Amino acid sequence: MSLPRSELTKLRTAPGLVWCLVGAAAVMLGLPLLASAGNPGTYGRAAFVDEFRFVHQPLSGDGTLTARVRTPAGGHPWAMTGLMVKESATPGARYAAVLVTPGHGTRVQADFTVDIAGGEAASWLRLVRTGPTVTGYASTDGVAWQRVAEVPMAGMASTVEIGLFATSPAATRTVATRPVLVPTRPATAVFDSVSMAGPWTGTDVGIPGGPSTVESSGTFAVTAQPGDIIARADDGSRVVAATAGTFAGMLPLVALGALVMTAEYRRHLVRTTLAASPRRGPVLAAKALVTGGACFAAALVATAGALLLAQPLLRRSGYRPPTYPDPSLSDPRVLRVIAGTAAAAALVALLSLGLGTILRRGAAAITAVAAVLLVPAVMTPLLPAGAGRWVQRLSPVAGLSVQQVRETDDAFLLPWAGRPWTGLAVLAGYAVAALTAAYLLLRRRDA
Amino acid sequence: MEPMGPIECQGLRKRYGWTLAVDGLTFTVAAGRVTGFVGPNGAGKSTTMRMILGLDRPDAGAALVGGRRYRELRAPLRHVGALLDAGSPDPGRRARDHLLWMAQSNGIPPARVDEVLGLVGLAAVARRRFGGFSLGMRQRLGIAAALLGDPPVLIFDEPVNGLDPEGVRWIRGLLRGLAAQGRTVFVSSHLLAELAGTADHLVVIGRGRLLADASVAALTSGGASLEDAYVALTGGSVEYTAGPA
Repeated sequence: MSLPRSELTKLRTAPGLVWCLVGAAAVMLGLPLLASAGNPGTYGRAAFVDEFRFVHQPLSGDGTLTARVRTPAGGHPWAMTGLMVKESATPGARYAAVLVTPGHGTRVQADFTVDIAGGEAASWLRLVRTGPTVTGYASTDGVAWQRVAEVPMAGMASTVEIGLFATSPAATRTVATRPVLVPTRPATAVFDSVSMAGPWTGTDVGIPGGPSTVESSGTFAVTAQPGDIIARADDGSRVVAATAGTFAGMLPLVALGALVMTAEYRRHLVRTTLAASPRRGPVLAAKALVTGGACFAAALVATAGALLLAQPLLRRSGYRPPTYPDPSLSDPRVLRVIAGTAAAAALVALLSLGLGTILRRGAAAITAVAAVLLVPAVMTPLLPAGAGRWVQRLSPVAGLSVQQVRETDDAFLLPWAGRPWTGLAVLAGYAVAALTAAYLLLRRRDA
Repeated sequence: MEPMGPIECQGLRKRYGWTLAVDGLTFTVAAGRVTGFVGPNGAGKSTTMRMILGLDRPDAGAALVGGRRYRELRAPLRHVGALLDAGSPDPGRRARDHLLWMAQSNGIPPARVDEVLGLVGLAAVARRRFGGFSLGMRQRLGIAAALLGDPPVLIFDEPVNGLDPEGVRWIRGLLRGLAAQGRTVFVSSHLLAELAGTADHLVVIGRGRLLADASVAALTSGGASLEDAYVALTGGSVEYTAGPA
């Protein structure tokens, strides 16, 4: 153990390297607290999100509405285009709807809690109200109809609003405490062959008014500001909040990993090191052990500290039981997020150590690793969804998948949703490859 | 201290790209005396020393210390102490910590760190950061690092560079004292005058080749001054010569 001890002495007696660790821990602790200290009461008020554009008219008693979806709203896998009956055009009023989505096919939904899948996205939709039930149908040609689902709506008022609606989630389907880049453009759905005649009323339910509905000779363009229709549920926000600083905090660790080696090359100190320990494999292994260990410890303490210190702030913002239960350190998922975050931080530093050894120049190595981490994150919103996901899956940022709490694969920078360890393994693969190449070069090269 | 041993270079050859830095160098540095390693700038002195220390891999030949290759030594600082040119610790690191990590890597007790700091006269500044050291203090710290493992073989690359006259005097006394203890002391310099009163034996190289391997007495026999003998030897191998005035 003499070599790791010697490398640990080197690390702790170089102020520049110690500051990298302190800086990383400060960011990993500070950003989550900043993100958690948002407006008090933001999330406590309503148990649902009810934001969409509704083009509607009153309906008394039974009735049927049929329409063709020429262009569904896009921009998100959960963007919705469809037909709805709702007690009134106000947020929270009871409703039942048949709708299509770009990522999740045809669905029947009701009262924020019912969600029934109905196969591929159809191009014709029909909503039928008969007594106390509402039934959704879908068709590919407007001739042959498939029943998607029938939902009981006992107790609904006899006069309701019926009509066309569209909405596209921007931030509502991401975890509020996870900082992401989401496009927040309005989404437009186009309907035609609408079976009911006017007059129609356009209402922006739950959101400030946007562009009005355009109707021309039976074609309706329904434009919705970003919104969503969903019950609020525990999305893992109270755990995810602790990871808000991971990505930014990794950057000082990238510098640390590279400098552990490149600073020695810059001052020719590497000659002193290799004269003292001529076996180069063990020297690199000792550096990897000490660098990885120090980064793991710093990230672990910072992330666990962030989780604990953020809780009072999150409760104040409205993340309270029963919707958002208190997270517990004994929950294996919480442990995985914290330990996995520390492991991902350590692996990024090791990737940087490997590249630093290969390139022998601090600026070059830091730039290369930072680019490898940042480019997929910046590129993803510009690529088609599938391509963007694979870029993330195969790049080192895949390691952040280990931070998944409850999110689905729609989440940003969680390309291995459902398989959090796979993402970490991808990152580990990069670190191992870089260190192996570094070892082969270090052994061969003149110091 | 480990048993004494000579430094043996056998047909060392090293090429960097198009430059043949060392070209078939064979010589032995014996224990118990100060051997000077002289030659013009670019003659291959530092390259040879790096090959002895296992830092650069020779294209041909071998360098042995006490009969073994440097890379085979398990705690090399106990066998060979080296002061290399330009190798310097992190400017923010304290002098004592620089020696401490070296000691830890070779299983040398930390008490020895304070001992060598006293030996080179840096005890008072042991906890100062390296960045604030003068050139002379840096050189002394480098010598302390070389002495750390109490090695029988010592290699100094240009040890008096940047030292004031008092420091030069100190180094000379140190080198002679180490040789008197029976150690192998191998000192390079591009200035012969620096070695004049110190070295017993000289290895002279030029353009990577051996020009002379003789005692100082043999080189100055026939009444020639050491300076004249050196210029006569190296005259054909300096890289750049001034034109006639």
